[in-house]
Amino acid sequence: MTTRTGGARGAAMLAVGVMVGVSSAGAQSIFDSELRLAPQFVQYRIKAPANETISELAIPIFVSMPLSQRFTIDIGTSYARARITSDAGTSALDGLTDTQLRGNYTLGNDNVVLTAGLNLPTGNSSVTLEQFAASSRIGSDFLAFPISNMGTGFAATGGIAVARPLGDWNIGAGAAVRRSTAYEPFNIANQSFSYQPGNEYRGRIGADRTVGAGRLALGLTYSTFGADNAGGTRFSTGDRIITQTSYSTTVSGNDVVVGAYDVFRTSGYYASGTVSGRENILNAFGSVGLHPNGVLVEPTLEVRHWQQSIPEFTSGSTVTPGRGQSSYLGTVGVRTRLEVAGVSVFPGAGFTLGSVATFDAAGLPAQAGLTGFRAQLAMRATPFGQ
Amino acid sequence: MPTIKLLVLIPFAALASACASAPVSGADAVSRLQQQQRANPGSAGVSRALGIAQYQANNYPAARTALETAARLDPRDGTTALYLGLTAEAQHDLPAAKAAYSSYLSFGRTSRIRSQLQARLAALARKELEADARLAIAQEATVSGQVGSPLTIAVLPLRFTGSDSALRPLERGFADLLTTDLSRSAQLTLVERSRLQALLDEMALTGTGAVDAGTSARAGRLLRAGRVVQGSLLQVPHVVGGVILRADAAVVDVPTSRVQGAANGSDALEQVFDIEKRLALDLLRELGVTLTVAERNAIEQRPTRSLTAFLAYSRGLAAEDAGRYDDASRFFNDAARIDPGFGAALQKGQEASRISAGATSAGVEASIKGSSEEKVAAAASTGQSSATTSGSSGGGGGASSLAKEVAANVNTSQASGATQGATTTATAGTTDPNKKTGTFGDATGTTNTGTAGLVSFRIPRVTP
Repeated sequence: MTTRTGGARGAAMLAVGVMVGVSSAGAQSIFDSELRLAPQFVQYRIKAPANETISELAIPIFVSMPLSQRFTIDIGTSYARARITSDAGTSALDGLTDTQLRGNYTLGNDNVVLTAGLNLPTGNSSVTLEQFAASSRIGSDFLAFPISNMGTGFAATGGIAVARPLGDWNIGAGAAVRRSTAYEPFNIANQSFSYQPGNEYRGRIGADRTVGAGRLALGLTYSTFGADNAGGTRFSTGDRIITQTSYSTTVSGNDVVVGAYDVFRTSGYYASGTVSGRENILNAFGSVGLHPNGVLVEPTLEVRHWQQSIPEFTSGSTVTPGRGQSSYLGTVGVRTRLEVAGVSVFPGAGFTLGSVATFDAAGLPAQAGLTGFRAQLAMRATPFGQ
Repeated sequence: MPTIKLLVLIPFAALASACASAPVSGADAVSRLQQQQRANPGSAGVSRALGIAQYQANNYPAARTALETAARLDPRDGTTALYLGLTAEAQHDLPAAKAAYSSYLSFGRTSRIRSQLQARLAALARKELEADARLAIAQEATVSGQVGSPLTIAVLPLRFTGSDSALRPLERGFADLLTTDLSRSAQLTLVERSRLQALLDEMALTGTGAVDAGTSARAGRLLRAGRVVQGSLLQVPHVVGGVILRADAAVVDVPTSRVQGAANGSDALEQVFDIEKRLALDLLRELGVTLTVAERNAIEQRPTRSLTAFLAYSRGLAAEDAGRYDDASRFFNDAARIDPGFGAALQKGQEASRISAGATSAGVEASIKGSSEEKVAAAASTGQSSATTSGSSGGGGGASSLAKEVAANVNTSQASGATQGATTTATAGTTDPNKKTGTFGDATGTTNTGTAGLVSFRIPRVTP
């Protein structure tokens, strides 16, 4: 544990060192700073037999500041309120989330980027047992809430990315390691339970090129986790492999984007010792930026499929065979853009329909209908008018 | 399910409708793109297409305006930079053309265009120096009144006197060595050789090319130098064979046209580097410069120890000054072949090679053929616009943008992902699977929706 904590401190010092060391290089581009604020509300209702409603109000704020031509920092945090109501009762929590501070320093002809980041524990990483359900559900990969956690303790990330042209392609690769300190996930009087997340190692390969009159982008991210330690139990929830592709073009002055991503998580072990099965989320989306009368109207469509592999489970002499289950959803949305006093405002809304794999009262597999909606009033400002 | 199918069909019907367009050409393309720009002033792709269409129609001021708008909207788009450079060249705005081409080298993706632009930039730098020199002479009355800093020094080519014409190129090589060594002092600013040569060429064109103290002072005034180093090389036959080389140099004070100090040295030709080093150190003393140990050590370095390589290099300088870049490239490459460690020869060889490649704006346009930039231009010529680099998912826009995109995906920020809806990229409404890091909910499996299972932990009670 001592070694881990020392390593995290070292990584944090390295991150700060990179930022401090390069910030003296000059600040001629700070006038390109950008502020983004995106209040949004997301709610999903999972019908019988689950009977669960999950909602989240998030007000994230994000500021990006180029301190020089080569060095950019950004900082972001959010206020969030999450609430779950079900037959079992209500679970809710709210407050500020953790704050992420990042610095990127570009080398040479901009094709090498050193990146460092700190997760500052301004959010509440300890929750009561009553709040636990709400704090967990917002981390769903399938529902993809804008804020997936309130706090995860102090962490530092350091990495590097490199890219270069290769024929008509740009090819890039990057790697980073995230090291976290231990924290108490539960806030229970007179009881202590330490959770030490394992290191996260993340690598990515990216590529893009022009195809026809548009641009094709590809990405592959592999993230692997060291063993977590919860109250002395070591476990691992599996690696994640994310593949992404998108094609964007302009047709008659209208921006058109189609794309897809796939998140595959390998099998592992939960903190309880239970085997976590493989799972796969496949998502496809499309959007068209129309401009009737000079106003942006951007309809979007997103469809998602979640395939879970439930491992074989033995309880006493009863063996429950392994099986698979599927959930899916489709979301239609629309976004527009207004210019208000030099601020770009993007109101948007979406409606979701789908089905979620669950269990009935007898503990047998069942499907529950899913509906949802989201509303957003995102804003972007460049305070210095660039 | 039928509802979902309907939801899927509606946007794709809209997409198909948006995609339907009839090709147009010529002035109609410009007109159509102007309409699109009015309807969508924030689209970099439309402004770029309009700029390209205007460029193709030889409407350079309108092209410049549209392309500058596109560059403001998407500064990392290589195609915009390319056509902005071509337009600026057509308008004889060399600094703007250089800036735009440099931008393409940072963000553009087609290697043969990059190669052409590197050559074109070298040629433009030369043209710019010539234009500066012409301007300086045209405005001589004004410029001459402005006294340069005494710490700004110009080193003129030395005059060679001797029977062996093969040694004449040492006029340039010796001056080049002196310039390099004097520039080792942090106290001095040396006028770059190419700028000096452009002025001397222009002065010679106007019939005032003689190099005496008065002419040196005049050159110094036009170059805004406070002092000028001029001198001569003398080939002296040795009684026992071989060649003795004598070098003389003087520091001319520009405001007064008077010689402030002098230095000289002589030795066997093979010791030319020793002669030059002694001369450089004497001149630095005459210029009132006190060297640091590091600066002195730097001066002691020899670019090459081969006289043959240095003579080839000097011939390259002479050819370059005469505008014979093919010959210059060959001589510099000879020097680098004789002494592969002769870095200056290698660098000069590459520069001369680029210029001798004869890159013209027409050559740059020819290199566009078959590239992705040509597809963008072809679309523009029929009134169609296409996505610029910032329109692509993940912000792809050349290798530098891709490197930043990869960095952002390995070092994620939750707030950055949550505010994507405030960005102009067309994928803003979609979710980003990379933004999420591991949570305690992941560790417990309680993030799974619809699974109202029981999760149990052993939480040890703290002993009081």
